[in-house]
Amino acid sequence: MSKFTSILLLALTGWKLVAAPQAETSPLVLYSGRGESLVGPLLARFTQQTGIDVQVRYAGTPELARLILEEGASSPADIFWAQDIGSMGPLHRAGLLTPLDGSFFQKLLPSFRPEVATWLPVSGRVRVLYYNPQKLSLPQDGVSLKDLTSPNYRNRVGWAPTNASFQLSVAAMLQVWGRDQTLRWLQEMKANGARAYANNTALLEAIAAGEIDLALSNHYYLPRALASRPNLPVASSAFKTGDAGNLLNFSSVGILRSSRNRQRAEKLLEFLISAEAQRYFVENTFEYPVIEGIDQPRSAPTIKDYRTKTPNFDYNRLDRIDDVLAVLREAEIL
Amino acid sequence: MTIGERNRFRFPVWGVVFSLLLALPLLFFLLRLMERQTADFFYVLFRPKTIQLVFNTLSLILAVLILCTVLAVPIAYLIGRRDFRGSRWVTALLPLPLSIPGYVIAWSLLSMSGESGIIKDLFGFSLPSLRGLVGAALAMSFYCFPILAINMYQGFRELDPRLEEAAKTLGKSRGERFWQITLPQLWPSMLSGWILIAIYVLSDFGVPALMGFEVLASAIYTEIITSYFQDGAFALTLLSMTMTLILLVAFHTGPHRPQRRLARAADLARPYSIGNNTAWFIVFFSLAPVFATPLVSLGYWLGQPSTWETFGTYNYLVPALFGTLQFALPGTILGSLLALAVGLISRYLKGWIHELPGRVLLLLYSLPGTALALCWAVFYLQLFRPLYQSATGYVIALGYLSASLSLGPVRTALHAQSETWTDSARTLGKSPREIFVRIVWPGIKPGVVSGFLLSLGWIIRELPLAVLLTPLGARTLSLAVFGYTVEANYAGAAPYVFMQMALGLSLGLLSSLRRTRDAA
Repeated sequence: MSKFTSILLLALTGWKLVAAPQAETSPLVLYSGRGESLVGPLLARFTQQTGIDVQVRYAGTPELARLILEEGASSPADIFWAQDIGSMGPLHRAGLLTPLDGSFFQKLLPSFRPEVATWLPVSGRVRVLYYNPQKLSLPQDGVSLKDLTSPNYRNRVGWAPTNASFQLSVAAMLQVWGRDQTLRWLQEMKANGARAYANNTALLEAIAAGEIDLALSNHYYLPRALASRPNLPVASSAFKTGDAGNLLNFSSVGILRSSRNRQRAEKLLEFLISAEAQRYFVENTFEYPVIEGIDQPRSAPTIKDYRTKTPNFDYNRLDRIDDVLAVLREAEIL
Repeated sequence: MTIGERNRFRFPVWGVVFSLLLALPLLFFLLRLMERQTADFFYVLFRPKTIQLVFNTLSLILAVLILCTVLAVPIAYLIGRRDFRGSRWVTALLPLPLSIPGYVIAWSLLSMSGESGIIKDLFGFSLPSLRGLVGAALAMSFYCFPILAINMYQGFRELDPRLEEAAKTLGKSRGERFWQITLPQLWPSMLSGWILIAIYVLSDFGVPALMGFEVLASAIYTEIITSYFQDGAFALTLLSMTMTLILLVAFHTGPHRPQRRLARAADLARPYSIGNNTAWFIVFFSLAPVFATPLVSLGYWLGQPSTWETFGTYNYLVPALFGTLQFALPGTILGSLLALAVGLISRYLKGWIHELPGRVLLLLYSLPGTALALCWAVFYLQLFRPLYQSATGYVIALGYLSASLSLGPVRTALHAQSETWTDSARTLGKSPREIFVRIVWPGIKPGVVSGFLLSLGWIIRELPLAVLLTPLGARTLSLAVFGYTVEANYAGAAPYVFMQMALGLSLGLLSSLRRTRDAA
């Protein structure tokens, strides 16, 4: 090896040590259960405006929630951004989240205010059924979850069992149907050839690729995809009125009690429910705003219509993720 | 180093110390395993889903073995037994597909097939989507068939033509000659190639995870992300390790190539010449799909304006490139040092125990990536908390892995060195340090550099350790390709794939050229 290469190697190796961050400028640490393509650009804007650097660990929401529970008070995270409201429950009960100032909640639409004050909903999304309209048509009044176990849909349905939004949907089933029925439904779905995917984007692409014809997903992936690929053979539909499949959910954030960056963490939360960020959600991710004065996304079911179709859930009891995991395990899905 | 003390009896300190040091994460895992004999552990170990996982894993191994054999045998026969213009180049470039990671091929196959795939866009008809067993087997075979091809190539080289000619004189038919004379001679190299490939299939995490075909290695990851490092993950890890161990034992006890006796046959075996057209047809058959698949996808996506629009609004290509190098370079340097130490111990200290560190390295390398990652994670979490998901912790884990890859070339170089020199130097009263610096090192330097390049090429595309052990906010090319592909964002992955292939292929070429030069 020439002297030059040796020096280059040493320089590259040593650079890390020299460039190690100093304690006082340590960046805000975010555990994000939402994907980088959604969150990354928004955080870049935040950093640009405030000069606050954000370091992100991107991973699945359930994985990160579990990680925080394991890390406890020594977690390096300041903020947790979950894909759903269910993941916040276990953290709240373990006392790992810090109570938020009342002013945060006053900005929210009244019907979106959670019962506990340790986490904040920042964007709304609903559960829908994606399908390929070229391969099948759905009945006028939609289908119910339980219809999907019929031979009609054999080997045609996809789902994402490790995804937090799917798991929250199972929590809703547990609440509406009870454990036995939910377990039976899961087993029947599996026996009917439901295919597992890693996430909602993969589900959407799987319909486009012809691997499956229907998928249980969040609503907003489709309008995002249609914006750049209008010919995509995918449509979306709500479930039958009153069906457990219809569920309104929120991506949510909380500040960890162990955070030593509390003030800056609050700045990020303020930013996320600011008009600018809320408009970003509506325009770029086609989610529902949680504050007043922002228009709803154009290419999504209106939230008012959708809400008439959801059963009466007790939203504050949807956070029993342990029960969900147990039933998914028993059905041999996880 | 204790060069010069090899004849006196003493406790084999170095062999024991290094074996323990290298086996540390593994030993710790086994230790923790004792307290994991819980109901949940056995539930996960024996439930129907696990049986399905084992079945999936075995089917994938079988499918990959069949595909690899189809891809590898013709080209191995060609370069081993036939002479044609350019055959030396083909031989030198044969290992090159090993520079393109399986998950990149998976990315490419996924983006090509299906009703929204590249083929549909370019030609108007679509391939059925390759997600699942078929796609996983294809991606793995394209990546690893050279392992079998190189083994078979050596098998073909060592065929003794005199046996075949004798059989012909005795009136045996073509078929009889093949079954009774040729195949028994080739069988050992075929078998050892197959076992190595089976070990690889067991170990790969990226391909089955992206192809949505659940096998043990990817299920360990799913267990970890849903239930953290709990009993279920331990159970699956133990299961996959056991399977690897069985294969390793089979590899070491199975029939070996008849080495010395027939080695001379290689000189006798005048390769018959073959028409250049036929030869290149076979080369094309074996190598074209392997290289064309990723290159066509790459060309397609990089040629789409929309790829660059999205890339322009948000990307982290430069941090990912630097991140990759920042972990891989120190990791590989550490690996070279470890390999050197292990090589010196086995060369200059007598006794089987001094072979042990090398064996430990081989074992670590053969283990499923996610299983190894779990061992490290548990080891750090319970003994060295700050190392968990830290740059140092990841670099150490990479160093161990890289040591196993560097060890081969380092060892070869050490064994090629005559002991006369070191013995004379010792007689002249030189210290071990002097002997190393002035005699041993200059001789083995090329071997160490070869080992460094070889393992660097591998380490820059490491995935399972990166998934579980990299520090917060770390970027690597492998994580980027994996992350985008998991989201089915094939266009988004393309620039990172390009960077990774450029790095991997240049290192692969460099290694190939060095080998050709050394051979000459």
